[in-house]
Amino acid sequence: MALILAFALVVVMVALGAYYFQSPYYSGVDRTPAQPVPFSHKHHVGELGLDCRYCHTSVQQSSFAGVPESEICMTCHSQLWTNADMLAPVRDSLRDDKPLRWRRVHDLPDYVRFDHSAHVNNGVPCEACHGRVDRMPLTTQKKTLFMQFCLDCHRNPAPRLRPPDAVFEMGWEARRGVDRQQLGERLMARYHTPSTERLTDCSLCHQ
Amino acid sequence: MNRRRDELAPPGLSAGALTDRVSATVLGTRPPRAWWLALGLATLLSLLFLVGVVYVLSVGVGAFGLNIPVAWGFPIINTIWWIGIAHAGTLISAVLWLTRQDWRASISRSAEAMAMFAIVLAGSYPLLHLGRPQFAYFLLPYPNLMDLWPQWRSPLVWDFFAIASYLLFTASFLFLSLLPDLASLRDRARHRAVQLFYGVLALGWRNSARHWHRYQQAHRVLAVIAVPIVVSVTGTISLDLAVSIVPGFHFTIFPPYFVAGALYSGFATVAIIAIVLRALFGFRDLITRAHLNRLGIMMLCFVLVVDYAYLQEVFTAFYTGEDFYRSVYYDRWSGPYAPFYWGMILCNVVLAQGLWFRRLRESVPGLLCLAVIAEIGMWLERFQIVITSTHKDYMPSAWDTVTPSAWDWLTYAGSIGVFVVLLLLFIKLMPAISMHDMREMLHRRKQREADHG
Amino acid sequence: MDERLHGLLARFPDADRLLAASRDLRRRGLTRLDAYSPHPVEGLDQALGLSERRVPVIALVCAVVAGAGALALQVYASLDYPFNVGGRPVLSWPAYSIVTFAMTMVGATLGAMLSMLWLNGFPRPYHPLFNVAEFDAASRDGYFLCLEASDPLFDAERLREHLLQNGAVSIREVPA
Repeated sequence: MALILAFALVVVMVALGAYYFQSPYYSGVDRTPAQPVPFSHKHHVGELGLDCRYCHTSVQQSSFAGVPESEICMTCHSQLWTNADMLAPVRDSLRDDKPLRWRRVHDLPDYVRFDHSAHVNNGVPCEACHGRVDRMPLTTQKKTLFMQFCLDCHRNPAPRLRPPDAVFEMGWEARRGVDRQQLGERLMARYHTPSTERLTDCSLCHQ
Repeated sequence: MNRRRDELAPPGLSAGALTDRVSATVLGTRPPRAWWLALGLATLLSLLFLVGVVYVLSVGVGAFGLNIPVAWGFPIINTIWWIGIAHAGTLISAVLWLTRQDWRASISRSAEAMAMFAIVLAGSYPLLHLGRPQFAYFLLPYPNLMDLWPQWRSPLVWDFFAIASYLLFTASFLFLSLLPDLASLRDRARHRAVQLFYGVLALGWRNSARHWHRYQQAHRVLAVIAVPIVVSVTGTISLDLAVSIVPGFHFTIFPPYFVAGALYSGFATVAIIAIVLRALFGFRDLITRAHLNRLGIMMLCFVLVVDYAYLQEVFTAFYTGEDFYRSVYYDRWSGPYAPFYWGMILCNVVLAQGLWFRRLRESVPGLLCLAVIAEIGMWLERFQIVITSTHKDYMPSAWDTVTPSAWDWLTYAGSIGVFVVLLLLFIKLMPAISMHDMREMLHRRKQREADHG
Repeated sequence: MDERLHGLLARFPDADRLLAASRDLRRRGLTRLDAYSPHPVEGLDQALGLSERRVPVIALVCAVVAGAGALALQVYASLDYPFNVGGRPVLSWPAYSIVTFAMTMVGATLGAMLSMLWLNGFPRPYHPLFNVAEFDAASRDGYFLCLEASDPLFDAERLREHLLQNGAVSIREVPA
């Protein structure tokens, strides 16, 4: 009896542990940090159709995608909604020459080296890690960003790779009748994607 | 042979008198004054250990005098030293039981306790050396969010499994051997709380033939697996070094060499504990000169293997014809750590030869000196293996000389204090001599006497 | 009376007398009897007909299961996330032998220890024998034989005589 109870206790503890570490509480999925300005990707990307690179200017050149300077906001907002209360912090920032302090939504540990340019120039779409930002009124973390999540793709990149012109597109899908895996493998050859052995090497990301 | 001189227990000793005497050391109200004194001193020493551990954990492993190229230093020296000491406990409690050596009866308990505490200390150094001991569980294979597993080809993972399984084994063996004695204490205790304490620990042992039947089966299983364990644990630790390509480490003789050294220092520790027990509880007639003699003989056996390994290592180094191997020896003989090498030779090769003389083995101060020399010698051996090999390996640009820091010495000395505290508490709370083993031994002796008329 | 009796507890002066008495009573067909001695007595288990070998068998099974499990885990883990370490093969089986061996030992240790405790019915806080003051001597120098009342052949008067014939020095009734 005691044996069964002890065993049941162990099972329950393991189940609880597994549940906890998979839970959004631990992983941060659906976390929506408050921002100085309630910027809506849904409005700007989904409705107005701005390209990602319009604001995240360094995403193709550098490891860091780039958070827009207030000047970039002002390219439009010096003409539109010039008196909106919501945009007061942006105008203040420009006037005082003090950058806005955006809060990071997707934060990787410091012992991981992630390079945006290496991914977007080689067919990994924004959507793979950031989700459908065109549907986010406020920017939200949608993926766990655990090492497990990275490895899912590094072990088998093919189904997620896209042709270069579709990397920044939201909700892109291959044409009907095209085998996704085969397309991905053709793209891998085109991008010279390294072998899985290399892609799962410790030193690739933990340099 | 002089029969009187070889007596393992006083001639007329009855099982009842023995049980009363040994349980009185536990249940008697006042421990001897020397016990309190020793406990006080050892507690002070173990506080130093605590200070050292707290400092190292708050500052980082840099507090130890280690640096590249000598990344291991004291923590690993001490791990190897302590785990070696533990081995003699296992050998005495298991191998000598299988070979039906009557002289193990009165020293097996203290040897097992010694093994237990030595492993705990041996295991604590690698944790300290991790720098971030809270992540030690990374060594366990468990499903995780990184999809990672331990690196099974790594000797450090082998080490973890070897030490952890050895700890589990030793704890089981110690409890198994304690179980009938806990029942004896429960039956002798007169105070209700004391009865409850030992009664709960004894789990309801009734000395039934059925109990003994299964007990002996379990004991036999553990004793049989103890034989490969004695050989394998230190052997595995030696692979940490031998699997690498560092000139002073890469020798095939390492596993047997480490095991012999382990048993040498372990028997020396058993001898020290036996001598202390004799003095502390007046067990001069239960742990006799015949016991000391036999412990000395065991030490001699293993130190000769160690000496052979020293010779063999030098031979191998020169026989390979490789300059790197030779230069390790030139460096050991005349480099910055030469005093450690020659100190080791003095202790383990020259002075250890005193063990050949029965008169020295049987004299208390004589054996005590030889045992302390063995401990020092074995520690110096580990020092020269771990430090001199790495401080000058292949690339002259990487050569460096490291000096142990005060924290190294503090945690080393402190760990001896912890060991002594644990052992002193153990011999006060638990019977220092295995009563049921002694009763069995006395029974066998009586039968032998009856057979010979 | 018999309803509330656990059995008869007889004390013998030495191990040989206990052994002889156990043999004798077993020969008379008693099955529910147990001997108590301060140390294992050679031959007593045969005399009482104890031929059970479950402890070593369980230990062996546990050892094999633990060892095979450890090896399987290492193989699985190596295939699950193959690392290239110095160009060694993905399945470097010689390297797995040490952890496999260690876990085999763990299996045997736990199997032997826990099956011994479990088969002996430990932990057992209460037993009628503990009510007999003299029984304390079983852990000192007393040799006891207990004939349990649940035995179909149990007959206190007759057995008392047999015990005395076999050299019992004292006989007590053990209340249940």
